[in-house]
Amino acid sequence: MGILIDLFNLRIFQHMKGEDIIFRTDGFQMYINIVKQWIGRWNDYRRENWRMNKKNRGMSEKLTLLGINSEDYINQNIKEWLNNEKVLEVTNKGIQRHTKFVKLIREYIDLLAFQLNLPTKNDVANVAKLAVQIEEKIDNLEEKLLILTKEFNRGSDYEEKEELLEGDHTKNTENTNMELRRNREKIKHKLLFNKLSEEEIKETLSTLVRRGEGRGYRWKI
Amino acid sequence: MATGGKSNSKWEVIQSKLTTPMPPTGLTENEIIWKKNKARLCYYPAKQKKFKTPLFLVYSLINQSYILDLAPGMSMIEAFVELGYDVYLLDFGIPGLEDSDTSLDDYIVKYIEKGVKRSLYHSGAEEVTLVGYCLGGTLATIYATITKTPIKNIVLFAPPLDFGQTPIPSEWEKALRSGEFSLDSVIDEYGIIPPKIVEHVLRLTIAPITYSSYISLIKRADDEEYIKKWKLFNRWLKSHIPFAGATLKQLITDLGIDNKLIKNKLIIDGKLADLKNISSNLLVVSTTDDKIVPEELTKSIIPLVSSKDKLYKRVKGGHVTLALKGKIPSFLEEWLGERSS
Repeated sequence: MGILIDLFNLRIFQHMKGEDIIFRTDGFQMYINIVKQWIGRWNDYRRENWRMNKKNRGMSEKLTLLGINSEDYINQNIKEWLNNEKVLEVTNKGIQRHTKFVKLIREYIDLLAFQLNLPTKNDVANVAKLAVQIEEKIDNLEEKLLILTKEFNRGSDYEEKEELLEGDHTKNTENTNMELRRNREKIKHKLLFNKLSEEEIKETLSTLVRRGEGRGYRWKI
Repeated sequence: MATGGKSNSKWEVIQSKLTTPMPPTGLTENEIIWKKNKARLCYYPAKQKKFKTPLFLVYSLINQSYILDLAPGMSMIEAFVELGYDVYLLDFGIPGLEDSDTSLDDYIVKYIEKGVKRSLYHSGAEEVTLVGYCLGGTLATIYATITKTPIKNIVLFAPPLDFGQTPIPSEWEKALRSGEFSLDSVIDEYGIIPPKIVEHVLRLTIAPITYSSYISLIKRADDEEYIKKWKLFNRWLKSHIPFAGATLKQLITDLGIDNKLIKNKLIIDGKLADLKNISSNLLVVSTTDDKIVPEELTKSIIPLVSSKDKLYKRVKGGHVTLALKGKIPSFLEEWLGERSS
């Protein structure tokens, strides 16, 4: 047994002799190796740090300093340890295995849910997606309504010429009504199929609001 | 603290303080003016309005936005409101599985652009000041390159923009760029990345083990105000939110691996996100001790935009220090004041 321990220690010692750590695939030895190296480095780091801060500090100050420095030290070492091809390879394989496992579980849950006639989380999410899509459409309409309201508020402030109201403008009423109906249908179609951009809405509204000018309406502004 | 003539130990004080209910957050007076899916647009009216140009705040997709209004005296929004700005905060909310297909394009076109338009309608202002925090800064930058909405000023706090150098370990970065290591399949399988995974991946990249904050807590255990702040901040730090899979894939591939934003090759909603399209006044702020978004990731934007008035400022502090100070730093107050009507 003693010989085995000695042989084990000798192997660690051989690893420790080199500057760069060699990551062995034989798990336990690799961890012992890393911990030993960390302890060694930590002792050097602590000695150096203590030497640098020899001023008279209280116990609390020393503990704080020790805490902050050791945190930096541990994080730095973990990062160094992670920055290794072997670790990367193991992680990559682990992620692939995990993905397959998650997929398998999901497939079996789907199968079970189908047999039990129960909705899965994805089914619920799909219904929620429909709600989001509807909300999206309502939001678009609301925005267009907002632009319409704003433009109407800006443009509706006009007054009619009294003499023309009493005069013979009724002659053209039929033609104007036809034109209006056509315009209305065009806007309705564009709104329904979401083909109207903000600029187009403004332009159309401007034309609509100013259509009365030909019939004798006058802008206040 | 003395009780019955006997002084309590720091442990007892910490224990009693940590077990008390969590103080409320987001106390600055506000009104929700627009909602869409999980996103909300909150309006914080100015105490005494001095500026017509409102501030439009875009927060990150990783954490919750209440860090900007943590508590009275610890709120950046409160500080802006007191300076006389109307503030609009776009909070993207917490995504669910149904949002797994939400892409970067969606966040920019369907949320930020619509949100800015709503804030313009609501405020009656002709222009806005766009303020982006962390990843929100990246989103704000991309948005500014493709939009026609009037943006007067852009302020970016620690935005990760240039992924030429990242805090990711070099071997991992190399493998990601060469395609040897890919996360696409696992992201697709998950749909949305659970918050705990987001937290652990971030911690692994920046600081895998953290306990120095607990040392500070023990050291200042008799300071009630400090313990309150510590509790609030610690809760926020651990309140990560799920990440939409489609967006994450786009961020990793287009921004992280191909660095398309800085190379002016990013396409959003069919439009080229060319940084030269940014002509608004620009202020980019980074902090000295920011381990999450170091200076190298933010600075490169300055020579690439066509703004005539642009400034890069590096100040002392960590990633969220400015948001927690409770007052606007003098350089920012001056810069914004001079450029807001």
